[in-house]
Amino acid sequence: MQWAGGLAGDHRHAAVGAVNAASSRRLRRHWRAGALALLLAMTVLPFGAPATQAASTDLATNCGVSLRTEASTASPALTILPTGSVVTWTETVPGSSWSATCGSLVTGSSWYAITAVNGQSVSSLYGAPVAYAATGLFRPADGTEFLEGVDVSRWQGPIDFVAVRSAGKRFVIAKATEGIGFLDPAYQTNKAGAGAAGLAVTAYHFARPDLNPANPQGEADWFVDSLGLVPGMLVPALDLEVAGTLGTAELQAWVQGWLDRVYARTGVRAMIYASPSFWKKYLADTTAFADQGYSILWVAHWFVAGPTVPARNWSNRGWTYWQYSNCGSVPGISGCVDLDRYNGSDLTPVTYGADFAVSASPASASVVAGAATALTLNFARTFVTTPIQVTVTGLPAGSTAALSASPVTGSSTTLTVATTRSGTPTPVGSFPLTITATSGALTRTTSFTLTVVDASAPVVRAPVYRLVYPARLSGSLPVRIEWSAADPDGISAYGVQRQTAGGSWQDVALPSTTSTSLTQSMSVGTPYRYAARAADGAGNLSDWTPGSTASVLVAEQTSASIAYSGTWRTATSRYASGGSLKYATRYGASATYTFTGSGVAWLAYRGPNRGSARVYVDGVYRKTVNLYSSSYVSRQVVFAYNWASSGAHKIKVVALGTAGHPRVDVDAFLRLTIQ
Amino acid sequence: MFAASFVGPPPAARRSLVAVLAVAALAGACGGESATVGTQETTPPPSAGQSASPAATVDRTVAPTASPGLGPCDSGALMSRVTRWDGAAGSRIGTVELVNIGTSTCVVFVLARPQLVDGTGSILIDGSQPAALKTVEIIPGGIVTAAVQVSNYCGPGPVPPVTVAFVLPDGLGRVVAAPLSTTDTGGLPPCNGPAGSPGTIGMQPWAP
Repeated sequence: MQWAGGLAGDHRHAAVGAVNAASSRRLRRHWRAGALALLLAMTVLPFGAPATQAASTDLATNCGVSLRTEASTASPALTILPTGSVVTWTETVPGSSWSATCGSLVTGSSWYAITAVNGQSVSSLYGAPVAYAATGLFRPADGTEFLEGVDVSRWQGPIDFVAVRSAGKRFVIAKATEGIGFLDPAYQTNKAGAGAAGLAVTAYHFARPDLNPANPQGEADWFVDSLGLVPGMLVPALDLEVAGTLGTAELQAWVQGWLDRVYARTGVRAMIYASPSFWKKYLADTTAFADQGYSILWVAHWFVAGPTVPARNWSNRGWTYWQYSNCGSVPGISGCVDLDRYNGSDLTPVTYGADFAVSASPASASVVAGAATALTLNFARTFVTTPIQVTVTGLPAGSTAALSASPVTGSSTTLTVATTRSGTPTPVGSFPLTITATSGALTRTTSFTLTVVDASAPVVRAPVYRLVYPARLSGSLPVRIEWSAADPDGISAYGVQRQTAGGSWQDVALPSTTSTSLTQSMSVGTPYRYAARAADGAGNLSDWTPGSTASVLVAEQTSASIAYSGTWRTATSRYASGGSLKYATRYGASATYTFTGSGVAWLAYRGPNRGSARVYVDGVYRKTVNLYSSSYVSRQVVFAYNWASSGAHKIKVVALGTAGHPRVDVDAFLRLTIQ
Repeated sequence: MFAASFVGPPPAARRSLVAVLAVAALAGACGGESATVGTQETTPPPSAGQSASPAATVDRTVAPTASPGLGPCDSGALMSRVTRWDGAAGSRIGTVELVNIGTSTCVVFVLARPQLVDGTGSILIDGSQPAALKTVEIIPGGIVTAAVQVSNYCGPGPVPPVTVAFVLPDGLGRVVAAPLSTTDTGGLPPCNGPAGSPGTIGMQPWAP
């Protein structure tokens, strides 16, 4: 199609190129016109020097960029790449100096060596293996913040949408209707062509409240009837730029009527096209529509670096689409075309019928406590391309869930649920898990039933031994034996056996089947060993788990391992261990026993004339022991202390010289050895 | 309002169109694509009583050609009118007819320099002169149609009606289309840019 006319100065023309003073003035006018025109000037430097930088990622043009045969502004331009074109480059090379206004003034003399444009090789496009473009006019293609598109009507005539798509455009907004009864004759062709080319497409209705002031519903009906809205299309638009004679309130009511009607018929809250000046002048800058959930604003604001967003930044939602030029040049389209930008990198939030479903495969699984199971979460996406966040709830205690990828960008991910038998063991049972997937405003769930079974015996903690007090030494000494076990299914019963002096194992009767401790007498000097086992609720029975071999040994008061300080006297008594003992009556007299073992006890007399003493263990005060008793009792274990393992320790008894009954005895010290 | 002006074309310009038309006539004689005069159905020009629009005003700048049927359209034989304005996301698209109300087949360039004008004749938005040299024949009573798109008028409020004019290439004159009504401003596009930002106007080729 031929085209005539245009902006004074014809701003449809090129963006990058060598210019003279006159054309510089013209291009500056282009920039004022928002055409992102560039000024390239113009000192040709030697080029062809070695590469200065290796390629890393694809790049996207920030504005119109000339693609040249050489790294020089003097070389012929093969084409002008529109804004948003994605190029693949291999290296940067030095070339002629250039300067350009691309959002801001940029200058330089390095050039990209470009091998592909929008996925097509330069050689196939232009017959040369490499083309060159000035650096500084690009941004990384990854993480693109905007998507570029166009809006079209019958004015554009036949459009080559494949070329439009190849130029980097991602969406097309086509005029469908106007007023009541007017259908843009190119709408169906544009809609079909854009869709076939892989462009996201939607339509707009040009509102004519001047013609139908009392019938916005009629215009809405005409639009919906003509629109052919199907899932996958972008949310359609109401184009507001004619007010007629309607006042502000009347126009607001008209818009409300139109939007309500479209919503009632389609379930879609249409987007609104308006310029900031129109919205402020004719609709009093109302936020009412944005506040109702009409959150998508397509703002028309040309020749500016960024749009003014009416309605208090559209109730803080900002713009979604920005029509930033009324006269862009796009391959595949003859003459001027409106250029639009989508504020984001994913169109899913503005796609009608965008939905997804999540399912679990398998939907249930049994796992032995302590083990893990994996399932696949499948995501059936319908026009949803955004990452999907996944959360899992309903996990039993002690279990965890992990995703192979989160958020999910593809169509599936692996969910692994792990249980544990240690720490907080995962209980046995059936647990319905809820898997919640969220993408934007869409939330979908599925369920998975986790059955935890117990096929393993309880984990038994070997018996340990503890000296206890008060107690009495009578050739043997009471020792407490403690054991335990863990199992997801719980412990139903324990069994304990004892081995004496290396003999055979003998069952030990327990107070109850679930007892976890027992006090038994151990003869002094005799080695004992205990073993425990446990059964869980599922009937799984563990093996016997033996503890260490333990012996109670006596260090009489005469032992060389006991060091005395102060005045200690020896007394003989047939009731004393070994027939004698030592005692002190003065404050501060002390006896210190140095030993190796896992437990220690102090053996003494109690009686009416006995007093108090402080006990220190490994230098730390532990207790004040009062030996007073209304009657005399011999060989009393008056203090004991235990450790988790055997080691070298000290216990010290310090007499306090209790008034009236100051005597403190050391009959013997007992220690518990384990091996 | 729409006072006709009569300005004769420069001789050189007239020779240019005549030369083009001669080439077109030769192409037609050789079995080309030019219309077969006399067999084409004609559409009578609208009479004043039939048209709801004011009569078109033609700047009478094109002198009759010495070659009846293939010469440039006599501006006196041309009438133009806007038949519709519709909107398009910041733009206005006008449908404009050009009618040969003369008695001879004549030709016009398919493109002209479009202008948006108001009731005083002031140019609101001025287009650019096309470079294309293709022509289209209009038989007596025949109508050719073109679309005109305008956008971004940021000037002061115009005097109704708002319509379009066409400056013919090679200095062949100017045709002002009759507006939809004497008060119509439907062709006035909104200002979507900053104050003082330029407007845009373009046209598609005249086509039967």
